[in-house]
Amino acid sequence: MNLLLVLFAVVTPQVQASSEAAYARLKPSLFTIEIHSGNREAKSSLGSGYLVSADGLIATNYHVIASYVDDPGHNQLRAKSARGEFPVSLVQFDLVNDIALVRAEGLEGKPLALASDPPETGERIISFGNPEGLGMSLIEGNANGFATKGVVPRLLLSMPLNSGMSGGPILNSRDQVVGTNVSIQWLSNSLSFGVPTQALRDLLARPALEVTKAALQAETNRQIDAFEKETFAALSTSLSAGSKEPPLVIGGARSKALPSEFACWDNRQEFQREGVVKSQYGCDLQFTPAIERMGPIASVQIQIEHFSSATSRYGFYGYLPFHAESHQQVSPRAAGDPDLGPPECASNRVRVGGEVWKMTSCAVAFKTSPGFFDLDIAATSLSRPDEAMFVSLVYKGFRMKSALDLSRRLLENISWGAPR
Amino acid sequence: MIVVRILRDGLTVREQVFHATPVSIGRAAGCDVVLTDASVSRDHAQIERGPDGALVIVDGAGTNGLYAGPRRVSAEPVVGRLRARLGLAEIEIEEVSSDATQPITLEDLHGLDQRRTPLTWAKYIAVAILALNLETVLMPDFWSPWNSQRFVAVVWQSASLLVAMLVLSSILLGLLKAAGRKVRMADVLRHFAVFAWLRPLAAVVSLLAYYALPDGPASTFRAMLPLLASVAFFAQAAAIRRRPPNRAFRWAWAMALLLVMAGVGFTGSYSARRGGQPEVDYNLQIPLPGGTTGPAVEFSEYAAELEAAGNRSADPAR
Repeated sequence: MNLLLVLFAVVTPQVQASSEAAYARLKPSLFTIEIHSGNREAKSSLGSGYLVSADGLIATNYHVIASYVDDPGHNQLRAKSARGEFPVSLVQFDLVNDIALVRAEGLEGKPLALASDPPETGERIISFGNPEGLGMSLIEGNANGFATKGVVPRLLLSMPLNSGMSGGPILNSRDQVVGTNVSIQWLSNSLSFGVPTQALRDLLARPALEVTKAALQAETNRQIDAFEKETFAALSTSLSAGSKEPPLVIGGARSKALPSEFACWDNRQEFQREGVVKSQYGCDLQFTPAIERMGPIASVQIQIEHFSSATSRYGFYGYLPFHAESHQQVSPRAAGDPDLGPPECASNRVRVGGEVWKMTSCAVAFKTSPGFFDLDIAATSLSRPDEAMFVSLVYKGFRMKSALDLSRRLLENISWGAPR
Repeated sequence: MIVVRILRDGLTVREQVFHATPVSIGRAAGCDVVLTDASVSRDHAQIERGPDGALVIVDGAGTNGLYAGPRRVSAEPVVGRLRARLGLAEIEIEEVSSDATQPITLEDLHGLDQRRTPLTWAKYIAVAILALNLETVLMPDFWSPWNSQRFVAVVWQSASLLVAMLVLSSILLGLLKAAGRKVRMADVLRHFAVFAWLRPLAAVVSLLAYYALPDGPASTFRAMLPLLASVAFFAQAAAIRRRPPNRAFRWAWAMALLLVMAGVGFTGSYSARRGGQPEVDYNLQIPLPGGTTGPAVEFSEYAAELEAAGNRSADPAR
């Protein structure tokens, strides 16, 4: 205890001194980014940003300005700092890595330097941002390398970022930018994520975009198209590689290993009174990008379940349709919606990989991104009277062909644990 | 032979048979048919035979006139059975042949009024409730491990059915009476008791169809059967206590009901589609011994169905 007190006594003043200095040094390069959809006083979206060129280029998150990209005609971008308020224009965006560049006209200032390497694991870092628009704030924390899941690279940070700090810089002790604030883990204590600086370097190298609704929609479609292909290729490769790994055991069901990009959870529930044992294995892809109005892009959720019933077999089968229905995620959508088509469904008994499944699926088309769909597939095994396997595959922002190809391969990999 | 029946509240209270015309009807003691009601004239009407031999009733130009149905008439030919009103007295006139005896049919027997007690009602209601509960019990979801209140469910359903059946029977009885049928509550309840068995029958048939047919047709069949059972129920109900022949009558009703139900179904599914409700069939059944699950398709075929669904969703016209 005494030692601890001594440590505090020695360390704390130093940190405070360096933080105060950093705040003073860096504050002129920090901005609050706002979107206004009509009223000058009230904002419809709020985030943070930082200067990356001497002639007014500001880096922020894509999700901060997503509503502007979606509809530049009815929204205005604005940057605010201690030096005043500047109208800004969109230069580039990268919806996959969730970063964007905007330019404040007539603004000159000292840009923040970009670090050439990602932060060391354990390295002390500080971050700036404007939480809830309450005031530019400095947060200290540590870098922990890259998150090991998902398709999009993310810095894993132990610092309590908050809403509104999105787009602010993450800096090392040499005042170099090592990343951009992007998101937090809900329901966790102080776990946050950052976009590595490499993505920003790539974005800086790209030419400025033409800012019209049509041109920005075309660019959005180009980016989701490329990312969906990249995700499909990555999952496809991992799925093939997974065949060599030990299989998953989910109650009385087996599956070949799932792609390593997925973050998965195992769960077993016993319903004592009803005599049903349910084992669950659920996975999703972290850090999937999302676009305005449509939601996530190239996102996959997999749920594999196994049920066994010690009581009525006939009644067990009476429960299974309700269970499949409870997994249906497609919600009603009236015809004539400008964004998404009405859900269209298909159900059949389908033979895949040695098992007959009752499959029910619904597809919802993206109207402004042709060829992309939200797709929901639920499959219940039909061949055994007292046990059942259930698979739910939920694709968001996927091409039909790639979703169907992944579904077939995932289902082919699933089998009964014990022969009958 | 000419038969004249004197009716009270639609039921025959006196019947007189005549072999020759004319037949005089009135309040006077000398009339062939004496009607005692004060609204009847002393010499109110006369049944005569016209020059072509056809029977006709002629008004005697009294105070309150002669009515055939709602129309006041001066003379009305007797075709089949004629119901006529003289003042407030109601009579029925019919010419019957003295040809060979007609053999009776089973249907004629049903037409005979039987002695019905409240016990008869109870019997019919019990049989109908048994049939509808049997349908419930045949459904696999009734035996779901999550349905722990089976006994309570059946009791509650039986109580609801009892009330519903009495209400519906009363409505049906009213409608049939309005259509001029000599019908009793017991007739209507008997109809319920017989046709309620179509429901468990439909449940068994659709269960068998699941194993015999591919998923799509089995699902359509499953949806259609209760509809057809309802059509049969109402077409048959319309013919309760109607004098035969009824085949064409029942078919006409069935077709009309089918049209109405198809219209309602189409409107419903159209509005569901406009509202973007996903239409999904989750039905699945336990494998038969030996693991039979019924006909299944290969994944490639299902993938094609799903692509078609995707194209429908992407259709810019929707």
